[in-house]
Amino acid sequence: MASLVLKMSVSLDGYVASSDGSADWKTAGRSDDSTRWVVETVSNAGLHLVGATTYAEWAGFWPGASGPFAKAMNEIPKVVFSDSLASADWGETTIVAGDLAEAITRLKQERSDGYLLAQGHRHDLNPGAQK
Amino acid sequence: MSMPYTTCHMSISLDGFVAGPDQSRDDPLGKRGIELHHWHLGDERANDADQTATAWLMRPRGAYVMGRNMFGPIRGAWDEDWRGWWGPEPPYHAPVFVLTHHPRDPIEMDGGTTFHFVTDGFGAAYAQARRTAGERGVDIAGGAATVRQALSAGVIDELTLDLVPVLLGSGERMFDGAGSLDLEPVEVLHSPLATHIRYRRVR
Repeated sequence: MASLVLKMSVSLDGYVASSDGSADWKTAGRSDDSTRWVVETVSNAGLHLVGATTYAEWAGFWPGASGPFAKAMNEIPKVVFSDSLASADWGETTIVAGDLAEAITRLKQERSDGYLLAQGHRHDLNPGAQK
Repeated sequence: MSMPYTTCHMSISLDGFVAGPDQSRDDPLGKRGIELHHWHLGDERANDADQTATAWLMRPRGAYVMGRNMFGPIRGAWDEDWRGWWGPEPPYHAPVFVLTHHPRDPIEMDGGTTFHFVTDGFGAAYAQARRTAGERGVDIAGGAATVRQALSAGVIDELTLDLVPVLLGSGERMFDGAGSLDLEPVEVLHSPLATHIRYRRVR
């Protein structure tokens, strides 16, 4: 069975997004080895799990993007959790409606190993900062 | 690296609390606050990382600054019998400057610890601690409100956090209102009980 991994940046005082939406703080402390770790974590996931808002931002950003994350972001299959989204045209994407916990349990059980990745992401962040 | 002058070492939950709620004489760390300290209190899962962090915690220092609420559970006027939580020989072995609004004569304990009571604020207590400590350095002993004042004043050269994988849900938060930090991690060790991070001030 696959596991579910949450990768999220959090400040020392416990915040995951700034009130003004700026995301400089997430990359300010980044070093070569931490970048390598993030690239590996994003690239080795069996599935990326996102919500509809993040999906729309990503779909508008990653198809033409370059850099160390672009290949993984474009090629790894995605599941979008949404009760309203009708179609998703970017990459290999499945739309899942209904109960989130049930869906994630099923997605875990469909795979013998590896992990599903939820990247901590606030929809009001500038996706460019995730490059 | 040379010993930083002003140090501070705090155990903190993953959700940012350095003590649980409802601190009292029977429950000095607040509800479930003890869960932040298993790493140095004999838990069998402790490993070399915890031993190293315990050695950081126990480094001899020239003087300490401590908040009234850490010194004891009494609020308001003093109960003159109260001599701290630590028995006749507290682990400080140096002068400890306790912040309070209520004057009190110093209390000399066994083993070199003397509690001095300072009524004119953090800056005054820190200045006295510096004068007393000389080159042996000052430690900000806690708790949350005192550390917050030290962070706001920008006097901490090395902050060590033991990040403990528990969620306390409520209690004493340390960073709220502390302003901005200029710290970078210089050492990270971990065990199943805690991730120990030493931050140094970026010069």
